[in-house]
This record gives sequence, C-alpha cells and structure tokens, in this order.
Amino acid sequence: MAESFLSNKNLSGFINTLKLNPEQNKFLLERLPTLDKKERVSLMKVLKDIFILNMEEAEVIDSIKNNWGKV
Amino acid sequence: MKTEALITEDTELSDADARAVLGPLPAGAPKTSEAVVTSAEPGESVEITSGEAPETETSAMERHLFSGSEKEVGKSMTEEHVEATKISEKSINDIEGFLAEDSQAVYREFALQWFEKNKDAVAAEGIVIPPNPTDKWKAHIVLASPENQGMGAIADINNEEYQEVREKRDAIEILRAGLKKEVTPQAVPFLLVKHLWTRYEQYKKELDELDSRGDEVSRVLADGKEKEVDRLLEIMEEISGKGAHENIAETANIKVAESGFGPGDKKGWVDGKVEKRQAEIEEERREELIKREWERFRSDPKREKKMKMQDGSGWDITLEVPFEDFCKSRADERRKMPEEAFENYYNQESYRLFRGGIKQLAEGVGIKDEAFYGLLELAYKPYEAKVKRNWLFRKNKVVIPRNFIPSKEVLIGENNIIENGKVDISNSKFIAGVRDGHNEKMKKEAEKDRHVCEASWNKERERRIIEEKEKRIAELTLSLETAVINTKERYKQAKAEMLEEFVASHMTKEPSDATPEWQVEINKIFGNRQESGKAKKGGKSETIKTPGEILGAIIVDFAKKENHLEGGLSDIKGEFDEDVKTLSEYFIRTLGVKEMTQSMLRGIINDYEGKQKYRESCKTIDRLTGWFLTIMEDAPWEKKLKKLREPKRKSKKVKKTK
Repeated sequence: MAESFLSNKNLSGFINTLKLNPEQNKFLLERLPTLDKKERVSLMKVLKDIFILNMEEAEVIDSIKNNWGKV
Repeated sequence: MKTEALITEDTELSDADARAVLGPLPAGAPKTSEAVVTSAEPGESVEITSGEAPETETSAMERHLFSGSEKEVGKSMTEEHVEATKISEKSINDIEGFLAEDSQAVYREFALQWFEKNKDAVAAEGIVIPPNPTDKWKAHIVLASPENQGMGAIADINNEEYQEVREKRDAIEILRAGLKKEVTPQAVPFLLVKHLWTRYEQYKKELDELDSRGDEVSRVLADGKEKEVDRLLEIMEEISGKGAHENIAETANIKVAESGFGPGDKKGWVDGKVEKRQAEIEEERREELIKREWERFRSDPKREKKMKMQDGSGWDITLEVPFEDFCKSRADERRKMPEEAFENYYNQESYRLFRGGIKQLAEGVGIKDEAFYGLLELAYKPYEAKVKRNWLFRKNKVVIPRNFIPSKEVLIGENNIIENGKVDISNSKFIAGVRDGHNEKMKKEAEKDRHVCEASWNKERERRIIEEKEKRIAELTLSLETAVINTKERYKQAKAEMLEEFVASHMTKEPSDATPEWQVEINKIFGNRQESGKAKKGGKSETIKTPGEILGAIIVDFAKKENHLEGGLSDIKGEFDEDVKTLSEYFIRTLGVKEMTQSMLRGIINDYEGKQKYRESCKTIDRLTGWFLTIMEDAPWEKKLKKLREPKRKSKKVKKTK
C-alpha cells in the first residue's frame, strides 16, 4: 500500500514550500503530528488553496509587469 | 473508541474524498478561446467593427486560476475578496465605452500608418487619392471602404512594422477581455487604472485649455469635459479603493480635514477671509479718500495763499514742496532721471508728504485712524481741525470748518455743536460714532463678499479632496512598484486569513488532548515510513491509488522546485515528440501511473490541445503543473483501458427458420 499523501513527511514538506509567515509555519509543523485524518484532509485542502494562490499571485504579478508599459 | 475509528477508516482517499480535498480541476483543455490577462497573443487580428477582444489561447491552469466560475480554487480570492472588489455594472459600461474609443483611436493610428506605406497599392486599386487627403478619409479607405476589402489591411497589423500599434491594440483588448469576465482578473484593476489615468490627464489638459478660452462655446464644452473628468476620477476611485479595501473618499476627507478644510473649519476660514477682505476694502477706500483730498487740494486755486496764510500758524509741515526747491534738494536724482520721470517722482513725493502731513495734522488735535477716515468719508477735513481754548470754561474745543454738510445719520442723536460754520468735534460720542460708522461701513462692504468667500472655500475644499484622491489612487495603484507590492500584500492577507480560518475551525484540539495510544495509531498511519508515491529504485513502481493522492504528489513535487525542474523532468525540452519518453517515465516512475506508456501519451495528447498546448505549457512551471494536473484529474488511461476491457458484443446469429 502506498503511503498516504497525508503523511507527516508529505504535509510538512508541502507546508515548508508555501512561504507562510514563520509563526504560522511553526504552528502548523508543531500541530501536524497530532492531526487525525479528517483534520489532515482539511489541512491539505487549505494548503492546496494557498499553493494555488501562490501560483495565481505569480501569474498576476507577471501579468502586471508584462503589460504595465503597454496599457 | 477513537483509535478504532481511525484504523477502520480507510487511509486511502476515495475519489470523492480526493475531490473534496482538491476540488475539481477544469476538465480537458479549453475548446473555446478566452482572452486572459497573461496570454494575449500579439498575432491575433481583430475586426474593428466587431468590438470583440482578439481570440487568444490560454492554458487550462490559467483558465482555472482566472475563471470566476471556478470558485473552488483560491476560495478567499474568488468569494469574499472578489465580491468586495467587483467593479459596478455602471462603471464597467462606462469603461467599455472609453476602451472602445481607445481601440478605435489605435486602429485609426494603424490605418494612417498603413496608408502612408501603401499609397501605391491604394492607387492601384483604382482609388483616386485627393490632394491633401484628410486623416478621416485615409482611415475610411484603409479600414472601411468597400473598395478596400481585398487589400487585407487589418491583417497587416500582425506585421513586424506595426508592432508598436499592435501592442497598444492588444493591451486595450486585454483590458476589455478582463472586464467581460464574470470575475475581473486580479491584474486588471491595476492595468485599468493606469490606462484610464492617461486619459484622465489628457482630459484635464483639454479642460484647462477650454477654461482659458473664456468664450461661450468653450464654456459649454468645458462643462461637458468637466463631467467626463469627474466620472473618470470616480471610476478610478472605485476600482482602486475596492482593490485596496479602502474608501478613498473617506481617506481624502480625513486628509483634507487634517489640512484645515474639514466641514467644521468653514466658518472660521470664511470669517478670516471676510476680515482680510475688510482690511483690503479699508485700505482701498482710505487711499481713495486721501487721493480725493489731494486732488481737491491741488485743484484749489487759493492753495498758495492758503499755505502762506497757514504757514507758521498751525501747519507744521509743508504740504507741497515748490518744484524749484524740490529740484534743488534732489539735484542728483534730477540729473539721473529724464524730465518726465522726475516730474512723476516730484508728484509722488508731494503726495507722500501731503498724505503723511494731513494725518499728522489731524493727529495733532486728537483725530486719528478710523475717526480720521470716517470724517473724510463724511466730507469733513479733519486736517483743518483746530483746537480752540474756551477761556470761559477753560476747556479746549476741537473744531473743523464746516465746508461740507455731514450726513444726517452721523448727526442724529448726537449733541454736536455747529457754530459759525464750524463743527465742534470735542464730543467723544461724535468721534466714536464716526469711527464706528466707518468700521461698520467697511464691514458691510466686506460682508457682501462672504458668499464669494464661501464659494471659494467650497472650491478649495473640493480641489483638495480631488488632489488627495488622486494622490491616494497613485499610491495604491499607479506605479509598477506599488501595484506589485499591493498585489503581494493582498495575496499575503488572503492566505493568512485562509489559514487563520482553518486553524480556528479545524484545529480546536490541544496536542495535550491526545492519549499516548491514540498518538501511536496516528504515527502508524501518518508517520515517516517511506517516500511518498515515489518508485523504489530498480523496483516495480507503486501506483498511487486515488486521483487525490496523485494530485497531492504532483503539487508537492512541483512546489518543491523553485524556478526549474528537477529529477525526472530535468530533461524536458518543450517539444512533445522529444519529451514523450521523459514524460512517460515521469508518469510511471514518479507519479506511479504505470499505464502511461509513450504510446498511451501519444494517444491522448490531442485531447489536451495537442503538441502546441504542451509547448506553451512548458514555458512556465506553473503552466506545466496545470497541464499535468489536468491530465491526472481526467485519468484518461482509465477510460482507454476500460474501453479495451469492455467485452465486445457478439452479434447474434439469427437462425433462419423456414
């Protein structure tokens, strides 16, 4: 059986890549080992949303930069 | 029991769980083109008459990220934030009107450029070019003339030589496309305000020019232009303010109030202005009164005699210096100045002496300031007042010759003595009345201007509010640096709120609540046992069981990379045919999709907008992530395999019966 992507390692790796503010990052990493499956599912969902927002942010900034001199 | 519940729950998510976790991704590649901010292609053409945005390609991820209907992704930005930043319908309509005008202007610019470069082609079409053709005629021939249909002028905008005008066109179309979306893309407000600001500045210049003309037609035109300027500012204020979650009008009002132009400051300001105006009026009137006396004095044929008579008997200064004497005393100046200039100088000096002299004479008998000017106002000559000793009562009396009749108002109620053509002004009530009367009159004059001062205050306050609004809009939106900083700030805030909300609603238990047994079970399931979803080296790849797990693995894998691909994808070239082997290995070894053979990939690529889309996706890691996510979400291999596994229906042979 493959290890769940909700594992401590997977989730903590994910948390560390999201460039959260240090306090939130530390808090999540501390709490992570105690979370049950339901909580991990919710966490994964919010981390995914943040990840998507990071991507969106980069796209928006790119778009502003690329079009700034043209509009 | 908690532990049992945990163990009995399957630790692998079902498809439904996975969807609940990750939300649906857009199915397949988009079939219809939809312009988005990041992806306007410069090569697209636009029909000038249609007003439509150019059709541009966009990746599935972009569609996913920018599409307002995809509320599952970037939830806080698409629901709360987006709702709060929504541009009003009225403003959108007005902006579209502005952008349509701008678009027409750009096409006109293109048409004129095209015409200059293709005069011969126009003539070759049999069109007679008039001498000195107007720009309007040229634009009509190039863009709208039926005779010009076959020349393909619009398509030429894609040529290298029209790059500049094409970029302008594309930028406008990007904004128009952004406005048409259900949810305005986050970049659009910044770009829109910047674009509108140029028009705003232009309109303000035109308004100043119209104002400076002053004729009736210009005044009417200026009224219309002013409304457009106001509306533009209003729109920019709305966009900029909503984006920053700030009421710019309120901010401007606060700033203006801090500078002393709050609503409560009006009375004090106007009173001050009226007082100042009173002082000005007094100054003007007093100067006028003195000049009147001076002219009277100069036009008096007996003044020489009068001066002689009075000389040494009360007049202690010479009111008018004889010209000859003056020339002698100012010999140096006279040499330096032309004759006429010297005469003017003489007259000025004489006036100055007269001015100071009569005031000094009046002061000598106790008449000064408001009383002095009040008497002049009443046509008395206070500088001719004399102090007479009443020997009988041993009292001094101040009398002035009654050359002019004082106004009734001054005399009523006053016990003034008019005796032998002289007015006794020793009575303090009379002097006080004259003084107050003069003051009152000047005050009344100044009060007439109160409404002017009030209007001036209103105008000044309005000017300051506009200035503060402009300043704030510029601070929030109008430079690339601030646009980027504010965008980052908004996302940072959205992400922080998202996490705070999650922590508040899902992480309510304290770590101390967990029993040791429960923690052991948690560790068994979620503890560090092996690499997630990775194939063991040299071993058989493990297929991750659910789409949710697969998507999670991709997100984690890609999120680990900063700006470059690593591991199995480091050899990616961006051309599907060259990459198909690498891609297949990545699907099989990293993502555990053992079914994704090269053959399978070749078979499904057209379902994902083909090789061109793949090439585009490879330009950024984000887009490539989107490409992978879209395929993984669809799991096309399952459909293919299912199709293969479906038993073929055997056609029943119908026995022919006789």
